[in-house]
Amino acid sequence: MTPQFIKTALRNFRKYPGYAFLNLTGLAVGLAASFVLILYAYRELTYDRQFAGGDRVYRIATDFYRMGGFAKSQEQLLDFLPQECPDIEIATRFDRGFRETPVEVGNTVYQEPHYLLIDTNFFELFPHRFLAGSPAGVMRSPDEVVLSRRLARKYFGEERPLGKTVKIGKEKKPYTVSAVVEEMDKTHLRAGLWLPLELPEEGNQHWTNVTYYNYVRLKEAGSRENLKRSLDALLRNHAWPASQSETTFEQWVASNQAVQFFVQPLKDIYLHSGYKFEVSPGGNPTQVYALGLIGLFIILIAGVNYINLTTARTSIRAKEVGVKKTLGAPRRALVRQFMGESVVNSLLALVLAFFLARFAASVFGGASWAPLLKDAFSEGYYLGALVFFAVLVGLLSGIYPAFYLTRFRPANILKGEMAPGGNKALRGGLVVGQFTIAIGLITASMIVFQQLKYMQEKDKGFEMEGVLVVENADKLGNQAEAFRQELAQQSQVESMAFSGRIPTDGSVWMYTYQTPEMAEALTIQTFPVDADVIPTLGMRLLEGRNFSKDIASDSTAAILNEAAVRALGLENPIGAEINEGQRVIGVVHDFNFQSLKHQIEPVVMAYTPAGSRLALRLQGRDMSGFLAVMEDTWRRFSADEPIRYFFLDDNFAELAANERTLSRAVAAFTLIALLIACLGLFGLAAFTAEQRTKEIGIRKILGASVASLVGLLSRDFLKLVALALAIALPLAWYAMHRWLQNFAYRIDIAWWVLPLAALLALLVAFLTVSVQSLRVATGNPAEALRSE
Amino acid sequence: MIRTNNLKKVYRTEEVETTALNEVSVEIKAGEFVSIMGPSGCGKSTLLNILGLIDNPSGGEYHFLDKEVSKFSERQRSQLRKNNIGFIFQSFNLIDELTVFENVELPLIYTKVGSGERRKRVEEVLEKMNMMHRRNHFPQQLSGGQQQRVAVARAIVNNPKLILADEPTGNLDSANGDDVMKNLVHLNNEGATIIMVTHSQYCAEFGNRIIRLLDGQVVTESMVAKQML
Repeated sequence: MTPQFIKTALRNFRKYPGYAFLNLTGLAVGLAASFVLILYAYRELTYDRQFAGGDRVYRIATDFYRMGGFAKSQEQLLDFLPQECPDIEIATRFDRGFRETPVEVGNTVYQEPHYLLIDTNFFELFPHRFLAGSPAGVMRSPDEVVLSRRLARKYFGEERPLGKTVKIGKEKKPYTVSAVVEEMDKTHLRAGLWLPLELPEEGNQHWTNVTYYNYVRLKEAGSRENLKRSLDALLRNHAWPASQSETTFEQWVASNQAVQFFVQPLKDIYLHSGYKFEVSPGGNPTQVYALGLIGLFIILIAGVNYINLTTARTSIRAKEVGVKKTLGAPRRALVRQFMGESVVNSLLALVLAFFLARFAASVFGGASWAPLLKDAFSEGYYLGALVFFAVLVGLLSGIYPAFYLTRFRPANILKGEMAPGGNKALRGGLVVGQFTIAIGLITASMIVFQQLKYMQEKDKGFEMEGVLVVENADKLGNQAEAFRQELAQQSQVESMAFSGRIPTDGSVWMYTYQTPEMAEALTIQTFPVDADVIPTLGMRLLEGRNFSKDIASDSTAAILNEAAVRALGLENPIGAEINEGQRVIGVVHDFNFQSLKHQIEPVVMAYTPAGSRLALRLQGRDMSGFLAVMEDTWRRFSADEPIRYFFLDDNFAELAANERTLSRAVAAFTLIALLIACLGLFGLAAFTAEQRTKEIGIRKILGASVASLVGLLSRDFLKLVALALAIALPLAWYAMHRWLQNFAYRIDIAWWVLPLAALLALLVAFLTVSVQSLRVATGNPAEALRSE
Repeated sequence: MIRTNNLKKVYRTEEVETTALNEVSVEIKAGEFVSIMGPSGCGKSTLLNILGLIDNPSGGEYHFLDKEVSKFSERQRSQLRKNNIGFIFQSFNLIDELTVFENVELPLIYTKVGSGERRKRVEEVLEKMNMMHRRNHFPQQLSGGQQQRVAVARAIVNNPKLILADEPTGNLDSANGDDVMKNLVHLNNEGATIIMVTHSQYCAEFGNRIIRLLDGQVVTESMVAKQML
């Protein structure tokens, strides 16, 4: 037999389809959106939790010359550290593939981007599930490879992969598959291929050099503090003596020359590290927190809708409760009935949410959060979580209506003495809460959008449009110049330049500089460039002159940016000596070579004719024709190494990709939050209008105009929205002000942003409410009175 | 003042069509006090609503103050209504959120009477109904009789030419009922035209003419022999 609460729930849908639609849609949209967001946040926050003993695993990161920190550390670190630190249970070093590598299986060549070069004990520290082979046996010989299940299947299908041979790298070195492991997804160590790490016979033993990722696992009794103390001892006993510093250890530690170590817990690396040379790109905590919070907000709004709409309709259900109580139903049974209805409701909403999400994923397929939608609804595990989530939301939002509705004495209900519509103040408060959130989100998305626009339009100090960069020109060796000359024949090429480093390319070159006046050397970002870089990239020379290949002394000359002039304290930069024998010949306008989050750093440009990258300034039409010619030309010079190139403005846009994703997601979910809040307001306005039908009728009979009635009905709601504005705007302003502090180059929040958000919110709320008010206000007053 | 010709009103729901008024023709002159009687569902209130311009007839003619108003829009009806007609209901129909004073003031606000004048007139009429001492109370704080006195005050504050009363004593005990009826007679004596719907023969006889309805049709009209008061 179907439980009664399911029957009554379904009958209520049939009886009040409009109300049911509002309630279900709001809940469905809320469930879909918030589940996706919370899932996303949860996923990002729980990286690297799958390794047994992982809470005792730390990475040792390092820095020297105050360069900003490296995820990798010294090659020799693990030769010394375990002796210094008895707390260490196991230590391992590895490296990652720098870029994708060809893997030849039979006659097919695959390009694999994610692979690690590991030591024999890697899988001991990072336990994986072995589907074939065993962790103890791997990496014993220099020609074995471990594959992920996915790659094993890709290469060999259903065949047994163990013992098979693949050829890896340009040299097509043969490797034998020694094990297959389950690929791990939520880890910063994601890889599909693991190869043996070959330690060089003669290593680079400098402490100011980074080579490998160094990870340790402490014994159960070990402590992070002991590990830190050991690293300090290492500095004193090895790194400081090796620096041949003439100062005391303490002075050295305080100076720019110092080597530093950082101990990073494994679980923090993905989201919070962000050093140079990370194993894989990390997450963005601001985005995770913001979207997770929005997810919580949305489900709050949707839950509040449910509570509001349900309690508002108390009077409709009151008679049922009264009669049932009179007939002897215990309160418990009634509470169970209403909670049951609520859960049925949210499960139905879940079904709707499923279709909504499918629909959203198809419409917004291009949006960066779209894959999340697919994820959330495709996997059984997620679906289970989602059902649980829906039931939870149903129970939580059903509690208040259930207890409220069943509280009254039956005699009072039947006499009609019960205050209809539940607690008005509570409902008002809930609406204020909803709109506070919605208004806050509107304000936030407007400000995020403006900041993005600013970042796109800001003068970067050079002209990035129309610049194409060939990343691997150095692979042509001494043919590079010939390649350049052939391209120069093309009409689209305006100018070309070789450079060791291009703004946005993510590479790091730093050298120390010290003017005769300076007591201590300074580490400064360095760009090795030829004489054509400044015109090709459209940098602006402020003083002095550009490099010239005809002036022999330019090989030791330097051009500074304005920031470097300030950092080095040069009053008359032209001709100044910044290192022994290195003199300044020019100054360029500051230019952004990193994301606009970063202040423009000092830059020294040094003359280096043969850079690894070739920058081309292009003009005119038929770019695709030119690209085809360029690729053709490249193939004539290098058959086996494919050309790699990018457009500079694309790359720069890529630096703001996180912010763009955030802005799109915030905007999309703001709309959703606003929509749900409006659905609730719409339902509530309908209810109020219904409740005040008699009053409206009386007023009409006495001669009230439609406008005055709409005003009367809308006023109360607009007051709530106004209160929400008063709470939301200062909070939003403060939060966004804080967010903007992340950017070295940022907008001031314009004066009109807050009023505009307020106006938008009021307008949307007014339109929502007045639809209902109009309906009642234009009705026939005789009918209004008859409805008693 | 009022003349109807074959007035018809039909209610339709999904399954049933109910004829509430079937070719009703009545004439009411200025200064009359007419009682409409008949069993439940005979169309009394429907007739009153149409006469009071808060509902439209489905057919027939309605002349009010020498104008044919049966096809008037809600806006036009509203104009005529607020300047000429006062209403008294069985269930009082006071607005719970407003005080006695504010309830009575409402028709004056809608006819755009200035606030000083409003105050004067509301106080006058409350005085007349002996409700001044309750001016700041809310309806739920009053007895039924007091509520109906407020409703009467609200009905007459605009000095309407026509007062419509729908079972004005239906929710009152006999003492309070008598009180309301005396007030109506008094207003009639001062010149107001009154049309009252009632179940009670006793109340009906306060007027000077009785119209009896049955199944939406006028069955008899009779003059009331005046003896008492």
